[in-house]
Amino acid sequence: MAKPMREPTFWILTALAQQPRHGYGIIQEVSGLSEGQVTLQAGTLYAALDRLAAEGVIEVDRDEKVDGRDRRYYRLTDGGVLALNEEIGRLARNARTAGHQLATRPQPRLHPGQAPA
Amino acid sequence: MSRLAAGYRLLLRVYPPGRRRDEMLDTLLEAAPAGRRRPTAREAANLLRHGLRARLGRPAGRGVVVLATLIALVTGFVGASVATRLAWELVPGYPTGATLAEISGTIYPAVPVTHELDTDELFFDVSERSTLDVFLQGHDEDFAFATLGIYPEPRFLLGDYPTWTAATQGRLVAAGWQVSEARVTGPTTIATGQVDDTGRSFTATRDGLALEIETSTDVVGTPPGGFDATATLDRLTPGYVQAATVLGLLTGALFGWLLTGWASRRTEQAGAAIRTLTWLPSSCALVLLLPQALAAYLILAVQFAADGPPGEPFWAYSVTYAFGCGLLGFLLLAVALVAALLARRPADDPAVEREFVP
Repeated sequence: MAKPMREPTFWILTALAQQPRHGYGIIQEVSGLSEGQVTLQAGTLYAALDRLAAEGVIEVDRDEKVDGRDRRYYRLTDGGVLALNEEIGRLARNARTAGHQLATRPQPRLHPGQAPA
Repeated sequence: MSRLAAGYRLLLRVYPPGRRRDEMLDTLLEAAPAGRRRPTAREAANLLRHGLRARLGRPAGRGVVVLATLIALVTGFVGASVATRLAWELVPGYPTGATLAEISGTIYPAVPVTHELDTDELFFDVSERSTLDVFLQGHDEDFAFATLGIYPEPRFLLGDYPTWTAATQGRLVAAGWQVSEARVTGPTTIATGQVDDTGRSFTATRDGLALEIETSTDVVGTPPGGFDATATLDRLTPGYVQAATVLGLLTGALFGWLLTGWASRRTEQAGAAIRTLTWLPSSCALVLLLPQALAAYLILAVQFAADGPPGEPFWAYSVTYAFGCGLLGFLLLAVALVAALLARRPADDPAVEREFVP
C-alpha cells in the first residue's frame, strides 16, 4: 500500500489535475482549492516539485520567458494521476469509516436530573 | 532590479547554481504582495532551509541528508580545531619579568623561586617530535597546553602546610586573585573513600591566568616538619578564542555540507562504479572520524562550561591516540572526492531536466 501523502503534496497534485501550472500558479490554486488552509512558501513548493519529479509523479510541461525571467510549467504524469487517485480513495475510505463510526456511536444514557447536552 | 528582487536573488544563492534560481525569483516576485520592499523573515528561513537541502541533490532521498549531516559534524570539528588553534596564537604568552616576580613573590614571599616553562611553543609534547614525525605519527599521548611551573628553592618549605595554604590563599586574594576553597589531598582508602590528609590543593584565577597550588608531605625526600609546594601557571581560554571556535565550527560544518552536496549532485547520474567509489569510502571514513569528532564536541562542551584552563586542546585525541584512524579517514574522504571529480558534470537541475523533452 502506498504511503499517505503529506498535505502540501496532495494539494500540489490536485492543483495540477486540470492543467499544467507554473510555480505561482500552483501556489494560487492550492490556496484557492484549500480555501486558504494551505499557503505554500516558494522554498517548500520547489522542494516538493523536485521530489515529485524525481518520483516520476510530475514532469516539466514547457518553459516560457516572462519579463526576462524563466517560468516553467509542470504537469501530472500518468503515475501522478494514479497516485492522486489512490490518495483520493484512501481519504474517502477514511472519511467513510469515520462517518460510520460517528453515525453508529451509542447515545449517552441520561441519569435522572441530568440535562441533555 | 528592485530592492525586493535583489533581496530574493541574494537568498536564492543558497540554492545550487542553475536556472532554478531564476524560476524561483519569478515565483517569489509574483507571490509578493504589492508594497513589499524586502523578503520576510519567514521567506528567508524557508529559502535557507530548502536551499541547503537542494544543494544535496537527490530530492527523493533521505540517505544523502544523513550523510551530509554526519560529514558536517566531522568537518565542523575540523573547522573548530583549526580556528581555535589559530586564535590561540593571539593569546598573550606567560608573564615574565616584574609581573612574574610579583606572582611568585605572592605565592612564596621571601623565598627564592625557580620557573620552569614546558616549552616556548603553545603546546607541550614530551617526545619533542619533528613536524614530519607529527605528520606521520601524531603527538605523544601527553600532548597538552604548555604550562609554567613555579617552585620554591629549595623545593621543600618548612612549617605546617594547612597554615601555609591558608596564608597563601589570603595573599592571593589580597593581590586580586579569585581563589577557590582548599581541597584535602592524600592517599585514599578505596573501600571507604576516606582521604588520609597529607596535603592541600586549590586554584586561583586573575587576568586570564590560572594558578594551581598543591602542597604535600608525601613526596619522597620531604624533611620532617616540612612539605612540598608547587604552583603551576596556566592560561584560561579567552572569549575571542571561544568565539573563533564557534565560528570555525559553523564554517567547517557548512563547508562539509556543501562539499557533500557537490559530490552528491555530481554523482547522481554516475555509473555504479563511481557511485560505489564515493559512498563506500565516505561511509568507512565516517566510521573512523565520527567517534573522535563526537568525543571532541563533548570535551569542548565540558571546557566551555568549566571555569578553569583547558589543560588539553579538545582535539587532543585526534592527534594522539586516534591519529591513525583520522589519517585513514581523511584519506578515504579524499578518495571519495576524487571519484566524484571523475564523474560527468550533471545538468543544472537534474531532477526535472531528465523528464524535459522540448
